[in-house]
Amino acid sequence: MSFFGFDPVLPERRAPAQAADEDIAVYTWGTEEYGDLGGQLVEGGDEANDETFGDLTIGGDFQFANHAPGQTLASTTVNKPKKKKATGGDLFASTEADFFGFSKKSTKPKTNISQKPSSVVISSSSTKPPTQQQGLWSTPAPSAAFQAAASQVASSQPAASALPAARTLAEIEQELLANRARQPMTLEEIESEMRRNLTVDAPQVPSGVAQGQVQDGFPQPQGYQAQFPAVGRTFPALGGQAQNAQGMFGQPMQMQQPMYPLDSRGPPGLAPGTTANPTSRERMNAELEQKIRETEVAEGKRRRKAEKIAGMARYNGIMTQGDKEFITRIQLSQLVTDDPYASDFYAQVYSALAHQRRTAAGQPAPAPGPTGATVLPVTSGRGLGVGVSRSTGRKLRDNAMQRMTMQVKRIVENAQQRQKSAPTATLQGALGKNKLRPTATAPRPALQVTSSSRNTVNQVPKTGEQPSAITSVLGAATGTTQRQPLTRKQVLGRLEELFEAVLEVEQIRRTQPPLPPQNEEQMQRMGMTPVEVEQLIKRGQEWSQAVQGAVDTLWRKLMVQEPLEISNPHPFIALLGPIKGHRIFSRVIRHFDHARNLTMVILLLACFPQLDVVRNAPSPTLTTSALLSAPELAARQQKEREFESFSNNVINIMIGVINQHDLKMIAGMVNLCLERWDMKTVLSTRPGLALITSLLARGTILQQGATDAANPTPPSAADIQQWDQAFMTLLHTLLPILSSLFPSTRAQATAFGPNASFEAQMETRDEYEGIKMDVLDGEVWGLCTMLAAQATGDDTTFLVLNLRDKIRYTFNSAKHGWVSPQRGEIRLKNVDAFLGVLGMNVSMLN
Amino acid sequence: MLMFSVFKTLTEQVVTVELKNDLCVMGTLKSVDQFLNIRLDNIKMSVKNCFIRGSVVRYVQIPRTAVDTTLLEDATRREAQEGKK
Repeated sequence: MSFFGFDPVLPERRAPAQAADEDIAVYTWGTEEYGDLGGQLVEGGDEANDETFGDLTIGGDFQFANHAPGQTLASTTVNKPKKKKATGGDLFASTEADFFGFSKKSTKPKTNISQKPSSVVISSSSTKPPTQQQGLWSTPAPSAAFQAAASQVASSQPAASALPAARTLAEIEQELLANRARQPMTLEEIESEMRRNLTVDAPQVPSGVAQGQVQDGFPQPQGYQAQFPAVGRTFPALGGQAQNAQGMFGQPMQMQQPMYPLDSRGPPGLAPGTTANPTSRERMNAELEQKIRETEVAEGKRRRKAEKIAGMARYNGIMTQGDKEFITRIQLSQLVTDDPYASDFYAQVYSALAHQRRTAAGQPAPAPGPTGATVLPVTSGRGLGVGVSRSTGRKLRDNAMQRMTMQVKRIVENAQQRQKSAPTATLQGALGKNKLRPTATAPRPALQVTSSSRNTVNQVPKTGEQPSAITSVLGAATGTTQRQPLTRKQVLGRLEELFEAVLEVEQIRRTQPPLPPQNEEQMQRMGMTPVEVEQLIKRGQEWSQAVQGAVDTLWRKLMVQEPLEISNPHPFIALLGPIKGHRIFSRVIRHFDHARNLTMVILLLACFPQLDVVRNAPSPTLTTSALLSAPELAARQQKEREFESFSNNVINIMIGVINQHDLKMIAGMVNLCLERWDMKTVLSTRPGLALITSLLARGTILQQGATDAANPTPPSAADIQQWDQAFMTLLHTLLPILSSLFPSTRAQATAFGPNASFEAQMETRDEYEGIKMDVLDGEVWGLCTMLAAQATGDDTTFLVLNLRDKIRYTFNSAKHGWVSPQRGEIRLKNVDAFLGVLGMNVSMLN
Repeated sequence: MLMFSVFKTLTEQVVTVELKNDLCVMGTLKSVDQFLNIRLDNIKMSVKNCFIRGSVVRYVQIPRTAVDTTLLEDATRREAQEGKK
């Protein structure tokens, strides 16, 4: 015995007879026995085909309206579709009834009414295997077991068909659509329609079809009505239309003939000439086609749209030209300021200077005018600095610029409008701490220097520890007391103030209004009215007043007018200490008039020994820079830089001023120098040497009767006498010290003591520095030459006598190769220039 | 604004931009904006030109001759003055 109730005996041990006893069917396809079965098939019955498919009149045996529900399954009609079904069983899935999921609602109750569950199975389910259906539709006399199985299946099928999973969404949708379309028919209409169709079309309708129809929905009108009271309502939109009703009627007929070999287009067996059914089918087909077309069109639209979107998506995140321009304009609108020249100062001035340079070099400069300008005026007084203007693509650029200017202007104006109208006061701080200024235009300074550390000119030191606080006040009261010299920090502070003052002056000068016309004719040529000229003149006057005011401020800040003895060094001289001071000297001088420049130069001459470059001038040395330590080297280089800067920015300008004055003034200057200078000290420095040499040169030229723009008339006799006197004093002051002024000599003296013999001189080994030394010697030789040119009589002899040793040594060193040929050449040239003035020659020394 | 103004005058000059990631790009300065974003042309890389966001720049090496130091000093003073106001 088996626990589960099956035979535990292995198959091979089972009795062979057991198989034969089983009452289950034994299939032996492919064997001889099966061949016999094939022979048993009923091949007859084809004679009724004409009745089914042809247009022969058919007997009334299928007029189901007269039959009781149970009788509808006439054996004659049942047999015929059976054959059809054998060939087209798998078509169930593709019938239109399935496609539309037709009349779900109506078929379900029908099963109860007709008590033919098989019809329900067939009409509502497409998933059923064909064999089963065949069994259901087969003759009503199968084996008992089969029948039982069939009824079981039938009872279970409705439930299965009601499962939503069994159908696709499309099917349900179509079903709902069909239901809605069906509603318009009233029951009466349906009934009458049925009757009419039956009487008129009955002969054409195949019996199987008629049977399906009966099973499908209209076997008993009363029962039907009782079961579905809701169907009895008329659908206002479509109700009453005969055509429609017919169509609706026809549909279930077609849809639900399950054994008919239908394809979705229609049964081929039906002749096209048939009246009611084909029209409704066509209509339906047309509807279907239209639906398909609509769907296709919609699908096509959707696809095109999707393609377009996909195509555009390639450029997602890429800005269009319009976007770029928009952003450019926003950026540009941020750059617009009230004073484009000030905010774009560097680019503006740089391009102006470049323009000047180009003009000076004779190169074609970009055409001036509104387009050549480096500032785009946006609104009055506002603008946008565009920096250096270039000449490429001018026309194109102009157009773009013009357009852009307009747009930027609009943006700026809108922003201003908004600023005015927006109630910012109430909203201030609502979003936290707001920056008042845009960061792009005014970045937050990383380094903030408090201005209290800077001293103004008239500021008096507050600290009581410094006695200068009191003395300066006293000095101001009495005008005689001395003041502490400016500290380095103060000097730097004041220099910065000076720079600001200079910038101010330069800025005002840049805004010079156009010159008014000089006379009537000019005025007419310029197309101006007298009123405009008047305004222009007034503006010009205001402008010159502004310039004058700024220049006066600058003059005050230079402190040239401070008493000469107020401090040592004088404040103005102190300002010339740093290289920065040298630079500003050359800048301020062009803003002052003649008198002020002269005042400045005289002060400079008077206080010349106080100058940093003179006082702390490096003494010449034989030590080569290779032997110097790094700090010493740096200090030496710093001194050289300072001298270079002083020479370029101060001495040269001083010489320029000196050259504008007459002999009397030059004589006065020389006297001033003699009075105030310690000649040996000052002339040991290159700046002093250069200054005296140029004074002498100027005096010599003027004394010889030369005239120039500054001196239209030759000097008077009194002036010449004054000059001669001044020169004699200078010469006699210089004669004893002259030979010791040479840097090479001084270097020698520093190394070996003041009394070292010229013959025992030691030359520096460094070629470069040796040459430099010889060049510096040459400057002293230059002074000697100037003196020799002016000296007369005995003075010339004294001059040569004083310099005799130096001349001889220099000559010999060059001749005997004590130095390199290059240095020898320089030395010979130096001596030759001096001797030449005296009417002698180097060759005479031999 | 000062540096923007300076860089405006440096267009068409060959500059070397040192980035904060220690990358150096040498090329012709085509344009610059107020954020000091830089467009370079003729760079020695797999690409011919590039756009550099200003915030990633560490240094820009510019030709000495293309800068007017005195003017730059003045411009700095002016900006400082404006800041004080």
